Amino acid sequence: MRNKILQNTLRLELRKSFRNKAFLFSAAVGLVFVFMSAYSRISLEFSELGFRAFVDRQIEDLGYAKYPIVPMSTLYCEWIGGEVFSVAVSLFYTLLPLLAILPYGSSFSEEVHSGYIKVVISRCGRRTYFLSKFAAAFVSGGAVIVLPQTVSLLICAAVFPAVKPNVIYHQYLALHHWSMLGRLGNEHPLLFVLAFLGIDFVFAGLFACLAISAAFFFRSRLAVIAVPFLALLGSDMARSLLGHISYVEISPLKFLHAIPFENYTKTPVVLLWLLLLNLLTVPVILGKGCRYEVL
Amino acid sequence: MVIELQSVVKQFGPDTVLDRISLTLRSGVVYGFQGINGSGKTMLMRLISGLIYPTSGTVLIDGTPKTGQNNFPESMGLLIETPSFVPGQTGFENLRMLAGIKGKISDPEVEHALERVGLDPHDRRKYRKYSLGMKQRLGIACAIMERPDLLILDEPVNALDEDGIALVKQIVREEKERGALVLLSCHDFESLSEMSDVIFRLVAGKITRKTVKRNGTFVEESV
Amino acid sequence: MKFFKMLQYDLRQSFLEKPSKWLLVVLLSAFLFLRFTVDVYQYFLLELPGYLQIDPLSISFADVLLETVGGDFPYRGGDQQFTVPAAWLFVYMFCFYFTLSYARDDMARGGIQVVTRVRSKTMWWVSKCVWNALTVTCYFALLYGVLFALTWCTGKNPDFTVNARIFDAYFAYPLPSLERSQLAMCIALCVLPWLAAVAMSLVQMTLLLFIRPAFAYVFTGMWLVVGAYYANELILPNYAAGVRSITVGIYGFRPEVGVILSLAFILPSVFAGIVALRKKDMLPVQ
Repeated sequence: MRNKILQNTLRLELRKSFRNKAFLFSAAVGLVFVFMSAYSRISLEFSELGFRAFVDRQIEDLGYAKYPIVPMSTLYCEWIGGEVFSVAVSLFYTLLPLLAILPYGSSFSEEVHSGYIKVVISRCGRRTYFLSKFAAAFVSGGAVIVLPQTVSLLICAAVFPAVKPNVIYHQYLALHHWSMLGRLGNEHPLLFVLAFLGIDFVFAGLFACLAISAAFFFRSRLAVIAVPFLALLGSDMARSLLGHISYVEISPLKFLHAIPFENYTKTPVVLLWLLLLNLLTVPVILGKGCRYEVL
Repeated sequence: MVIELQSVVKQFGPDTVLDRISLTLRSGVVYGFQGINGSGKTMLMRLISGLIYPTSGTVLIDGTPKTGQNNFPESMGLLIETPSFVPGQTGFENLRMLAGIKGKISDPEVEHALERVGLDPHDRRKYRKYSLGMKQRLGIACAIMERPDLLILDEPVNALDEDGIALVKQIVREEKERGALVLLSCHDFESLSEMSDVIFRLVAGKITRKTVKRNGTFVEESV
Repeated sequence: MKFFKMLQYDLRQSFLEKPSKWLLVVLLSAFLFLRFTVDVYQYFLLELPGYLQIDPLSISFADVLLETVGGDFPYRGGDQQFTVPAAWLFVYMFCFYFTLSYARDDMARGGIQVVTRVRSKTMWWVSKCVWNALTVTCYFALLYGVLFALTWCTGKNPDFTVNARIFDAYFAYPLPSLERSQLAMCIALCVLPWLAAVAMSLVQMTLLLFIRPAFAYVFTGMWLVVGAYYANELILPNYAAGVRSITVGIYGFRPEVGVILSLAFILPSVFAGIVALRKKDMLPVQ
């Protein structure tokens, strides 16, 4: 009977997490960014300007072509997780936590405020309620981020060849072998992309769960949405405290992008973040949740 | 079903909202709780329902202490304070969604519950368009639809017209006859005394008086 | 008289409700200053050989402002990567969080009681706008004040003379040699960013009349990022990035255009709110 209630509650929560306006809004915003990025890359590819003019500009600026080889465009450098030039990429990855939280991150806070939590939790029990809430927020948060990324991949795959990137191009892929999954990225780029889609799904899901966690500490529904986002932005800001000591990327807003923006992505940092996010979500939601008093 | 409270105390910081409450509640009886605002009626109902935990004391259901996170009675219908549902769905859709959690009842039973409270199961209006009275009726329907063994109704006649109040009285009677344990609170003493078999009076979190209905009149008994 | 009573009500509700939030602004300022100091220390005193090291006493308040809340260059095209200046974005998003939902929540709570007594939705809205502007002003005053105090206490120059070497190290771009008056720098680095923030905050508050707070917040975030990316005179966030001011000399964002553009957002926001409220129900938020 308990398992059946768990299944039913989980199904209910998942349905609520996907069938709401906030999910559609987040997905739509993500898709807008994807289309902007795809348009900028595809229009550049087919324009008279572009990499041919890139060589001309070098001659104009420097007097010679320092990098005379015109790099070949490949899918792995043009999808939203691979290119680093358009405003859409900046928008997508900077606002990623907000987009992940919006669909279902504030649902617990809203249900407490409205009193709806009473009618659900009295039927399914605390553990089932919070377990389902966690799972639904995780899945919807992850899906709302990975969905536009997948669309980006498909759009670019329709235009750009899926050629393995060649390291002789100077600006091609700032993906060094010692960066996380660097070897995979240079040797099996499709697997690399799929791996990053998985990593982004997990992180986005945990960002959404952070908001659920925050609801135990903040009464305000807006704080529940804004505080996790600002905290992650703060980690981006704190990056420069490392300054010139280390060129490792510590901000998830940067290392979730498959190709590093500025600094190398290191596996221990990613794992540490995973651990931290798990510590901030799982014990809080399931631990505090099991003793939660509905007032 | 037998619910026993043994010296239950509930404190929020320095404030004691329930002070050494000891009660035995049995199925087939309607218990009314009476008291001024802030006397602890709603807190007591929250505690019995499992929404909050006692600071000290024990709550037993059929002899088994309620502990841990699964301290909600197995079969319970609840209406505490203003009911709340998903604004973008109809009343029927809301109840069907909640009924799907336990999966004990099907659509016809949900419809029957709505009809019992005087709502139209085929009403296409979303919950956000409901009047206060309709919301209250929906809350009652939600509480009774699964034919629970324990029915907790906190201020069920709020925002209801005369017909609505009469409906609630009939529902309480029917639930009692079905064998449910019914807990009620109401500011209107006349309605409360009409519906209840036993009335507890609360003052500052303490039960100060217990009256039992015998032959149509209330007789005081020791608490 | 009623208007001032109403404003007093708003100020008391929001300023005194959680005074600890202003402590967060102080902590933010301190963190930004620490970040700047660590950067300068690391780069100049550790990385560079002795003869190239910089005299810490030659660092000024303008340097602190430029490198903490001055923003960054826009996307320059070609093979230049673009990253959003996180500190700058954080400062503004944190500010807009302060002003995010008070107006909307007030509409559903005590505000109804106030409106029925003053009998004017227009007055209610204008009071909210003034409250909004005052909150942003306090935020920036506190932010700048703490940065200034820390600059002075740590022995740096509390003036607006930009240090060319620090500028070059931070922005990887040489600082043009220009005559820069203290007043012009103050306007570029302090006044215009504040005014732009007031304008954006008012736009956000007006949007709250039509959409949910979370969506209004996302919109403001997007607006900031677009402004960080594109250097365009008509995109308001450009004036919130002091490094792009014509006074600095690399980009040509003029203060007078910034003021006009800010007013072009402030006034319509106020009037849009007045017009919208005439038709809007004041109901509890669902």
